[in-house]
Amino acid sequence: MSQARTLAEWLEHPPARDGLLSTEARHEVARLATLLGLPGPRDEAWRYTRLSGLEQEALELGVEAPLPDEHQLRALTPEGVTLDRLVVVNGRPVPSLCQIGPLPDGVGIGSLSAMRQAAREGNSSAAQLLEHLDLLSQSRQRAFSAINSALAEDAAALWVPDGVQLPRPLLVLSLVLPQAGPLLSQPRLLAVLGQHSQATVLEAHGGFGDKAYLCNAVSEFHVQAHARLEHVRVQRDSVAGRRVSGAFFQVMAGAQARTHTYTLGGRTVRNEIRMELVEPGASGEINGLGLLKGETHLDNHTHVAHLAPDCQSHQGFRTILAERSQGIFTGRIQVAKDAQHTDAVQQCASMVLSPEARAVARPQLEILADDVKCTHGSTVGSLDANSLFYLRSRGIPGDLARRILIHAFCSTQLGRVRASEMVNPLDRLITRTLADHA
Amino acid sequence: MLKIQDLHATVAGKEILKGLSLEVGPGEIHAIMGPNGSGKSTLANVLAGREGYEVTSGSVSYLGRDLLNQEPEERAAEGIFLAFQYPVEIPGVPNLYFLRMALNAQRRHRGQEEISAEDFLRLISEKLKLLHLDDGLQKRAVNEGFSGGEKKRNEIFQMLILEPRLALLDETDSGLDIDALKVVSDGVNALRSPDFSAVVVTHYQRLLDHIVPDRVHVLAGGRIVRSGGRELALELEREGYGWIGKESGVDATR
Repeated sequence: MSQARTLAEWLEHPPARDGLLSTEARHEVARLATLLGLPGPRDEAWRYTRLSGLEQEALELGVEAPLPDEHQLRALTPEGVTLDRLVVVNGRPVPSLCQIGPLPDGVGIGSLSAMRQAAREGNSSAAQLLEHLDLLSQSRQRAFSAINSALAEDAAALWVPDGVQLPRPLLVLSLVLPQAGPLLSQPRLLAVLGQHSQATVLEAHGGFGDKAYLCNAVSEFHVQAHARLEHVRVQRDSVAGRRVSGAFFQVMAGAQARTHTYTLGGRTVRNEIRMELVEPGASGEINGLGLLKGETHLDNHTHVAHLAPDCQSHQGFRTILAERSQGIFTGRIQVAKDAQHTDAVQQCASMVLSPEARAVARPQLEILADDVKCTHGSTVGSLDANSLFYLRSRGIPGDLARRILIHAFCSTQLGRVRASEMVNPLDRLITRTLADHA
Repeated sequence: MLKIQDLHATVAGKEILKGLSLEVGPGEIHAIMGPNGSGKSTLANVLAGREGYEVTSGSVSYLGRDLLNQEPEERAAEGIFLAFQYPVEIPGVPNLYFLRMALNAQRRHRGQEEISAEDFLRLISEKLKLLHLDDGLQKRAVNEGFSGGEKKRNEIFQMLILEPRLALLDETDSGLDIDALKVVSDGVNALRSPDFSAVVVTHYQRLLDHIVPDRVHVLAGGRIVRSGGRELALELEREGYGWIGKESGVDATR
């Protein structure tokens, strides 16, 4: 039976069964989540984003979810690229919809519950994977991570052993399918890339229907020494959809993690992306693209922590704002005392297409080492009149010229995606989305 | 082909063109010369339809139709091409993609079929060869990181691809070395035909050694103050514009 309760009630009485965590552990985290409380108006990090009314709202956990139809699956699947596919509905992996091709020995793709079963049966990699759960999500400080840990029923999981290259990108298709009333969906992803391994992971999130929902997603990525991770996340929520997402990366010696978040809709979306460069020679890249219109409110928070010497980071965010949309970017670069020779770059550019849209950029630098290179810059502009006239003077009609220029503004973000097989599908997605913007 | 009558135009509230009249017939090349600030670039931009250039009175007819109520893209599709004095850099838009979009938009406007990828590439390589250009620049974004000379050559290359009926060259020759100047003149001369006209705005007679004009006009104080054959350009080169004030009552030295 689906029940609707407020968040506080759910945290007081979490489902009495093993979920992401054991029954006992989820009760403990639930108590913690209650203590942390939801971020309020005095919380500086949440200054621009209100989830007003959330405390009072009765939410369903959507455990007995319907299966998505082909159309919904196709809407979120990039075309023209061979992928392994995990399908998650309302936070729960659905084994019958997963499509996984032949994999190198030792690679694990599936639900966390299946991994737990395998570990019980003596599979040592599954056991190792489980040891990484909830180490990065900051569920002791971050309320939404604690809520996810307490109420999530399962997770999608990826284990790549040392030295193995994933043969195809992994697509994690995560759908929110609200039923009778407002839904709380809690997808979770845990990925561990062993030393010298390589993987491309595409998270495609989408919400359907006109019912309200809150999707509280948490993803954790352990990128061990000299491994390479390319992570692309596409978020296409419905106009009634609210999303709070947390993506957490730990990058070890000589390893590289690159993450790209494309936000293409939703009512209120808050993305928190945290990357820790833990050992010397680690490098990280956080990119984002927002294509906003209507009433969409997007709040991107990044935090790059340089904790060791000789690490590099790059952050690049671009947002297109049409109609009454809002885009906020808060980017933090933290350089610890002994993180000498840090090279950190942060850029944020917004293109505002309507007088009612609003863009805000807030760089935050906290530098405790002295031999470092940190640069940041942000721009807010509109469509360039000279460029527009140039295109029109060559015969390109005004609306097409506007679309070309907006697409060009976005395309620099595509250029940062190294997984070349993903570039064209992403480009098509952007082009389709932009057709509504100009 | 082009008939301008008593054209008055303002930029940012200031009147720049003050009763300009000019007629360009099919197949003719007209040079417009004159001191700085006389309105040469304003004329080119008014004809191409740039925003911010307001026509307060007068008329312009092109191919027998009123030009001034047409959008810039309509003018282009009807065969007007402006080679910009300062070509715009557009990061993120590849040159070839841009040209193909432009060419196909013009073809659609004229009720023609879009050009196939194969024919388009053939056209590109043919015109590159004609101008002795290598294809390196075409693989980059529109004018991005191009030198001044490269930008001007790119304008001429675009002109050859789009094959206008009326080309407006807005000081395309300024700042060019002799090789680049050759590209510009080769481009214009390649299009010369009874159906092609050009208005060449220039400061220097030297371009007119390569593009031989049918008529030369002196623009000063927002009006054509003198017209003549190509020998007028040589005279201007020798004597400068100091005489204008005396002869026409317009102060050209300010």
